[in-house]
Amino acid sequence: MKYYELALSILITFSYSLNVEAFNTDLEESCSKKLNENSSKVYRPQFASFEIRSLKESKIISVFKPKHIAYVMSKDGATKCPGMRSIKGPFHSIVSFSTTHLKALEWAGVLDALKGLSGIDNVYSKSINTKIKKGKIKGVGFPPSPEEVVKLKPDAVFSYPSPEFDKMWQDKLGLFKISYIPINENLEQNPLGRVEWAIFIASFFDREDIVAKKVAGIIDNYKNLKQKVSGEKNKVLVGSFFGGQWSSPSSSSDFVKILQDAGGDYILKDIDNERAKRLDFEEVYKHIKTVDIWIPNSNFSSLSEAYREDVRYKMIGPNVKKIFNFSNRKNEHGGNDYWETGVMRPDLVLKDLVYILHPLLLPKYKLIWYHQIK
Amino acid sequence: MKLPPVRFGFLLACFLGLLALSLNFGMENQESFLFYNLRLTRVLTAVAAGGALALAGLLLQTYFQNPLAGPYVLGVNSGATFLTALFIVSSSSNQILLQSMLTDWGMMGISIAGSMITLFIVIFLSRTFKTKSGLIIFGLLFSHITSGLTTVILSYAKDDELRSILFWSFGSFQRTSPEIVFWFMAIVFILAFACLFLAKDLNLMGLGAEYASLSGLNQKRLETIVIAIGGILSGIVLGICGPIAFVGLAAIHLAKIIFKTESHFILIPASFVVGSSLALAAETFLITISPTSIPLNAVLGILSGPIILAFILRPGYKWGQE
Amino acid sequence: MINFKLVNVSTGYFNGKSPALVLARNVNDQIQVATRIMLIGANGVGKSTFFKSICGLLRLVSGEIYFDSKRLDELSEREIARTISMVTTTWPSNNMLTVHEILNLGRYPYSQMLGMMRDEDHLVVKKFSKIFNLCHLMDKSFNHLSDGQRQLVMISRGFIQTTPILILDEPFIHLDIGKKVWLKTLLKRLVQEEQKIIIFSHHDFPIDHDIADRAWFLSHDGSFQVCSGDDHSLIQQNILKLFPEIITLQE
Repeated sequence: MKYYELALSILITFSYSLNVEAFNTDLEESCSKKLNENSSKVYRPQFASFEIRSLKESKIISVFKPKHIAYVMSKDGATKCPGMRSIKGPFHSIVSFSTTHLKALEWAGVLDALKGLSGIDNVYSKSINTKIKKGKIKGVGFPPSPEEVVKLKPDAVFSYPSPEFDKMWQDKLGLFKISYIPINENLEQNPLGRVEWAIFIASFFDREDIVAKKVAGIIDNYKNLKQKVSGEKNKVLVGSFFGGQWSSPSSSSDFVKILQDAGGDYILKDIDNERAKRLDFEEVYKHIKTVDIWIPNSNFSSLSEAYREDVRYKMIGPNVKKIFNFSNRKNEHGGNDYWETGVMRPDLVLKDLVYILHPLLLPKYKLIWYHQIK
Repeated sequence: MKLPPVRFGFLLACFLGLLALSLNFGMENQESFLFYNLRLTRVLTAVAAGGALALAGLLLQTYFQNPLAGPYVLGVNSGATFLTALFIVSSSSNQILLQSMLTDWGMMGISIAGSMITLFIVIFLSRTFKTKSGLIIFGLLFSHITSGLTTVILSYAKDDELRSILFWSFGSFQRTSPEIVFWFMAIVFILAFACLFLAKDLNLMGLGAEYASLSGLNQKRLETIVIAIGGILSGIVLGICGPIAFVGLAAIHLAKIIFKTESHFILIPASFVVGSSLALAAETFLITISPTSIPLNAVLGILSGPIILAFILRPGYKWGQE
Repeated sequence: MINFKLVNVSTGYFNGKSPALVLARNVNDQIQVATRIMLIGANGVGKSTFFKSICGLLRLVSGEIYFDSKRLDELSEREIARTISMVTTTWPSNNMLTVHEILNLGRYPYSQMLGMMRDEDHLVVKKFSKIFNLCHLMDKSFNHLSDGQRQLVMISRGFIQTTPILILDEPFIHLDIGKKVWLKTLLKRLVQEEQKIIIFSHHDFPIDHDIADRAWFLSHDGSFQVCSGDDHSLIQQNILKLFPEIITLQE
């Protein structure tokens, strides 16, 4: 085979994979048929890429991106469908690897089922911290240790997607009949899509209806507020130094989307690529005089703290008109509530940002996660 | 060439003690055989990895007649790290066609493949290098270049990818499954046994390259074998556990201090057991302080640093004389 | 007895493929009996280089060396190791191998797969360790010995290799006067007993039958002169030619 033929065939297969239908539900439909259920209730969220199919005795929960994984959940775990992972559910005890799952569990009313958590130092919520102190929720190590997880004898583990360790966890937990479920919420580029993953989590506890209502409310709040936004667009810079290197989100990231919905003009909107985040500081500095508002989205609470972190902040601080950072709600270890509650309440984050950009639209509003840095 | 019984007995006792502690600590509440299986997997991984790294280090140190030589001079580790970082960064992307194929193979497979590819390149090039220093220079050059490339990859990584790469670089003995451990141990023990056949040649290398030639030792052939075995052992450990630092170096020197010999008939089994014990000691420590997690490499560093220092600073050791 | 022949041999250093420095030119000699050959030359004239070249450690600049009818470059490393060997001037000083282990390594060219020593190997080692008075040192580590002891160990190792030709590069330097005399006598005896050709370098007087049967002179311009041990006047001549300082001292 000549080289160009090889290259061409690779290119074609590559582009074919790009065009693969996002939601190919053949697997789910054939499983439904096999279980002799024709009238199944199918729930599809507005933005997120998952699906919940409720059948009489079982439930099919499917994830489509980045890989199509389908779970079929039944009371005894005996229901099997080809190509799907069988789960025994609903769950009564779980371990979570990320504090971003906590809100979803709270909404579903199943916080008592949480037996173990990775990263207990990062927890902001008082009630959860109390439970940790009492030993009701145990730390499983950061990074999580398989032994600690298995000791707690959970029904399942909710983790963040890590393709390199997924297989390892799958195998190890599988030996103990513990289900391993990666939650792909942070792959969503739409902030509203991210919240919908709470429904996904809730579905494993048969609580998806309650959570869906709550999420619908949040989405409505968001849409309503977005419509009210008007007025001049301020120029906003988002970014901070991260390990000595300047880092700004791309214009397709969920935060910038909220920012734009709040009526902000993102200075670096030409950067669309998720990967072009590390920037030469000079590039950023070129725009510095035009910046109305700087939103660092870092952990410092004051300018002097910032200057200690990186001297170059001195070049930005005095040159921008206003600075707002999301360091208003942190615990003593630096655990930021933004990552716990904020990512699950884009409607409130929107409110914060609207207030920052157009304070007159929301008189008497008190900022939640953001505060002004002078 | 007799194994000094008292000292070896003492070493063995320490090893068995660590083994017992590591297998029994915190096991009171667990009745399940499966949990024991999990603990055993972890412990056996540590034992085999420690021994493998010590052996790889011993072979390379003796062949290159340099007390600080180790598998890293071959550049195998950097090559594997580069491919692993590349894998982590590319596998989370939505579009990559190979993504699902790669994740089935797993990161372990990719890391091991990375080591073997680099090893292959190094062995191939070693045949063209006339001097030993040429090979080491190439290995170090290769390390630097691939490290640079790895850094470039890191600069394009998303935050969670960075976190994954960071966690991977902490090193851990817990990533294996019983199946993998079985094959791992099989390979390690077979290669370790094979090393005994090299003992005489390695002893001869101790007299220097000149006497090795004068005695008719085929140094090029020995070089290829040493690089191959050393590279395979360290490459597999890298793939299975991530980068594990210090054990190789410290174990060899500790073995030499304990047994006061340069004969490889003793040093080969001794380094293996010392290496296993060191790794096991670190892992036992982590078991006892669980669930607090300190990275494995940190514990190993703290354990091994003083040992290496003690070796270099010991009275009677002459610096750089050959 | 082996037929050792040097034909138009030149030795020196290479820069890549071409010779950069030629230290000995057109060396010709043929030896067929047990002989002690002393190589005489000023410091730095290239004696060690010459030695390393004729035993295969360095490439010859030109010429051929024959062992019986076989050329040096035709032999495998193992065959060379059974034909000619050398005792160098320096050894690794950190090595913890015991004297016994080092002596055993002398039998390496004759060992099999696992390096097991056969009975005959053990006998050879025992014989030479006795001859060189090393029995009481057998279990000592090499790095714990004195320079003189180390020298004797390495010389003994050279003999244990039982090559028909053995080169000793400055074998007397670390030895005290008593040992020097003893080694002189020992070499005279061993050469005949073992039927060897021993080539060595040395920096002392007199050059007579006590020390050597043949003399090789290497001067700084690379010229090489062979003298039989009986030819005293020629020997004197060459000494004075190589070391003109001797005359001025006498004056």
